[in-house]
Amino acid sequence: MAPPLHVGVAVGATARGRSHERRGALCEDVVRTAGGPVAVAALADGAGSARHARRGAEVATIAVVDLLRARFVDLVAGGPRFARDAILSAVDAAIDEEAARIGAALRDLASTLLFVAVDRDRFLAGHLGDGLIGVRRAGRAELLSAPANGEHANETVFVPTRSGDSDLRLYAGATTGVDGFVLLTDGAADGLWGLRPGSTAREPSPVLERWWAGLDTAPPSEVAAAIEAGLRGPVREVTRDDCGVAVVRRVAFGCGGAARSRELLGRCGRRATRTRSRVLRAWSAGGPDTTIQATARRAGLTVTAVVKHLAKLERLGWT
Amino acid sequence: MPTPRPDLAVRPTDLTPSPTTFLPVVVVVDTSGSMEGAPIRELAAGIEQFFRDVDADEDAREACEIAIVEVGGEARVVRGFAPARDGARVCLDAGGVTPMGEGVTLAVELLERRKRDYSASGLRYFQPWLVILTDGKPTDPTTAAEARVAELVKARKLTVFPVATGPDADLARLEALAGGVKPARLAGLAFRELFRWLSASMSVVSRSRAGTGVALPSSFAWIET
Repeated sequence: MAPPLHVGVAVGATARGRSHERRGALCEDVVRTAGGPVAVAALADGAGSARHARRGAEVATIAVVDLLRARFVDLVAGGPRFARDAILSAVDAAIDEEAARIGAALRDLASTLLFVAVDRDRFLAGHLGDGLIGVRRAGRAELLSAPANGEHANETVFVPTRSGDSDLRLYAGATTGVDGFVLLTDGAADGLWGLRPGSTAREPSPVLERWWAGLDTAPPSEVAAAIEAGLRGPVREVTRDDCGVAVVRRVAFGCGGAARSRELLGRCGRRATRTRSRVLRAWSAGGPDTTIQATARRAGLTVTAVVKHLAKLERLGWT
Repeated sequence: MPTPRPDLAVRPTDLTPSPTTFLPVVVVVDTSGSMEGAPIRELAAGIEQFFRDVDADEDAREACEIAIVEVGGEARVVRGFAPARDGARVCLDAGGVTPMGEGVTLAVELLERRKRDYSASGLRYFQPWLVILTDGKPTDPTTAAEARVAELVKARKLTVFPVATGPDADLARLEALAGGVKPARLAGLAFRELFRWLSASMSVVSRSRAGTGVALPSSFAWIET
């Protein structure tokens, strides 16, 4: 029996905090996600003192997600120093360019940055500033990267860094036993991975486990909508700050209903979803050495149809 | 927005209540003999109004913990750290000399101890504030206090607001006690305006977050120009 095929899924949402809402300011937390062979999520929280905080956070997340999607394998293979330099160069360059374009100072685009990228075998996560990164290891949520605050509550570090030996913390490793990640900005971390009363220990919220598990059975868009509803509702009530969350997980095909299948198989029509599903199951059942002809026989489809759908599945990241 | 699937929805029991981030403030007030009469009455009225203003502010009310050190004859704590709502009335009596070095040392010790208490309880705090109000010059040695405050100010671990009241205040000594921060001179007996500005400033800090440049209110009606 061949192992089930998997695909990386990343979903996220943000919500404007009560403090910004009261002052009519924009939400300065930005999330960006991408699924596929390398599932990537990035969160940034624009610095409160930055005049273009939201734009800075957007630029940082776009730069890091694009880089990780394009060069994940190189970055992991090159080692931590290489990865750190490449990531900071890409983010700093994007901020430089944007600052020049809009005529702003670099500090006006400052933001924190959290990201994670995961393929079938490895992950690479990074964290600069406050907020936190959690990991699901052997079915339990653990803190991977704690907030980097100064002594005082309103102090942290930001991109752009302009420092060779920056505060960016990188985490890389095998995905063996690791089956999910969560990124939280400081506002969301207050409620979702907060301090136990009277203690310095943080505790993950049970809802994180339900969101990870939800990706196994629900359409990703439904999990994203639930995260957004949670942030706009109860989570926002326990903090005044903007809130941002991203959840990443590699999921298997076959559980959940037609809506989930349709999303995971490329949002095609019902008939195409059914056909692609047959191809995927036949391909999976054939094991790693299976051929297109064998897959076509097993699926009861023509070789042409199998080639077309396998190409699409590969582009979607099914491995 | 559609209602999420029940198992994906956030329930109140899923959340940790966000602990308050504290702003510890010590106000060192000169209550030496020269403050007798209208100055001490206006100072007391200003402090009472200060507590009312802080308590009325949604952000400052939870965050600010205010202690008061009186320097008149001796230095003593007349109010330990507490939220503004816990006892607005502080009895101040003018009399005696001005051991301001002792008063500032006591205030810094109070702040250091409070920070340790916060840390031990896993609580976060903003950079502490030290407000110094005096109408004269210190009558005791101030070298140690000056060095300690200067060290904290340089390390960005303390925000100091030195305010001189009356024409006889020694601005140079006050500046030295404030770690090199230039003192402001109070316009007449505008203690109420000063404390109103302080409470508004504390509100700004209380709602600041990482990376927020703290722009304090620019209404300086209390400063002599």
